[in-house]
Amino acid sequence: MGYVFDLRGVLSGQYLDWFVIGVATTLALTCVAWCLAMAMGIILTLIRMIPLPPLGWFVALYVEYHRNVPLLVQILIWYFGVPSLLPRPARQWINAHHGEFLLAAIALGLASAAYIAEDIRSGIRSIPKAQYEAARSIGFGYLGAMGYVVLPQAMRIAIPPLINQTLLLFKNTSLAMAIGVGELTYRTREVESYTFKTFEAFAVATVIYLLISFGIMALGSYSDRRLKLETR
Amino acid sequence: MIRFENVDKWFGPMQALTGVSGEVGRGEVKVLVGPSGSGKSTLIRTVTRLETIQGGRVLVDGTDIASRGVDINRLRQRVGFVFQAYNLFPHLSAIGNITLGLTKLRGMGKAEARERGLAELARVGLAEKADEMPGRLSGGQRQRVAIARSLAMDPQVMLFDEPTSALDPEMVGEVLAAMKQLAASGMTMICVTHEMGFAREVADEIWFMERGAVLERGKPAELTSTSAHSRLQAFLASTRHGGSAA
Ligand SMILES: Nc1ncnc2c1ncn2[C@@H]1O[C@H](COP(=O)(O)OP(=O)(O)O)[C@@H](O)[C@H]1O
Ligand SMILES: [Mg+2]
Repeated sequence: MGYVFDLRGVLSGQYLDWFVIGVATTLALTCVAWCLAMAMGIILTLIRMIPLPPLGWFVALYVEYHRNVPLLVQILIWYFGVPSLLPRPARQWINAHHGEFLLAAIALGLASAAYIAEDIRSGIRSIPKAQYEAARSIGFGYLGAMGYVVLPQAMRIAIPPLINQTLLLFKNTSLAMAIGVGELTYRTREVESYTFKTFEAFAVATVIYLLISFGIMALGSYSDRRLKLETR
Repeated sequence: MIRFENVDKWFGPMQALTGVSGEVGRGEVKVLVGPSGSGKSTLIRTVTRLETIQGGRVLVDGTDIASRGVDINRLRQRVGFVFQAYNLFPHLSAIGNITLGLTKLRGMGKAEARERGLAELARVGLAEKADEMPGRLSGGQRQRVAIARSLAMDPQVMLFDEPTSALDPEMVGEVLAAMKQLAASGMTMICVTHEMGFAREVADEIWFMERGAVLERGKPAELTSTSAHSRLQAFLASTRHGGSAA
């Protein structure tokens, strides 16, 4: 068919710059959403530990919503729906400060938190009751025993599933293009439509996604090795 | 120091303690012996309310531990508990296991807590293992760290629940040595153990339990002498030697 695969066209000048910006935005979005997800995941876990039924229902509802509504829909709700609930000055501030980035990060982070909370919970379940009891017998209360003894161990046990969640979160950042966040997929589409070099543009994006995924996996297995509990 | 008054404990329909009474004076060492399931663990666990009771009272220093005004977390700091399975915190080093309570419960500074922790480890002969993780210690070393962890909280009483029965035989001695030293220092102790050599050497009294009750109590020499016709003697004979009954 005479198609010549040539990367130079998409990896030079302005197009190269777009890719670089795209990667930077994807990484930034991943980092911000990840921090939010971890914080929220731990908060949800802590809330669930409080023995008050309504709080448990709240967390269950949170988890079910975020796991069962398509992520793209959640992002669109945050982008189109939530700002309209805010007072005008807040809306203007958001629009002036790359609101789409922030709202995408919130949507991605909160959704990921639902999975993270579940992973931490299974981690907690796998810690023997004797650990909790030993902490109590030293004089720790419920929260102290959980916070200083059970949770730190549960988090270490949860490292492998948390790495998975991080990878998913990273890949899901591409959905943010739907609301105009200039991340890697968005920029790739841009390069493609300017150069008509479809295969080249997406080949570059694919390789970048793969490399970063491998990087996350390597970082993850490093921390797993460093922090792994040597059980008896 | 500790008084059990007609203590009843039920697990659902099963009665684990039936009207147990007894007293442990300051500086005394009592050894609890009895077949598996006779309620030994349950009895000492009531002292720190790891088990709640349904009848009778448990008093520590004259205070009913079930009464409203008692701060259970305070009480537990004053009553050390050593478990059969050590229960060290695997995510913390040996010294980290010891300093956790000091820094978070006592509000001690890090340096001071470390110093105190090192002193406790030295007491059980493990100063050089301070920064090892529990996973890299032998069973005997772990149990000694667990003892040091309890001692760091300045307990007035130490409770031991079969501290040597999970250990390989060659490690039993080092843990018993630490316990003997503790007894010699005047610590009030209740030890569930079948180490009769230990009992003869340091126990003021042996309590023999069966089916949730203390059937027999007396001085080790009286209960374990070959001429004695005690329930304990029969029990020990039936298990051949002191170590294997759990
Ligand atoms: N958490 C529990 N739930 C139900 N039954 C229990 C529990 N703990 C102990 N028991 C029962 O109480 C009795 C006394 O147990 P325990 O105090 O552990 O005996 P010992 O320490 O002398 O071997 C046993 O019959 C045991 O099965
Ligand atoms: Mg027992």
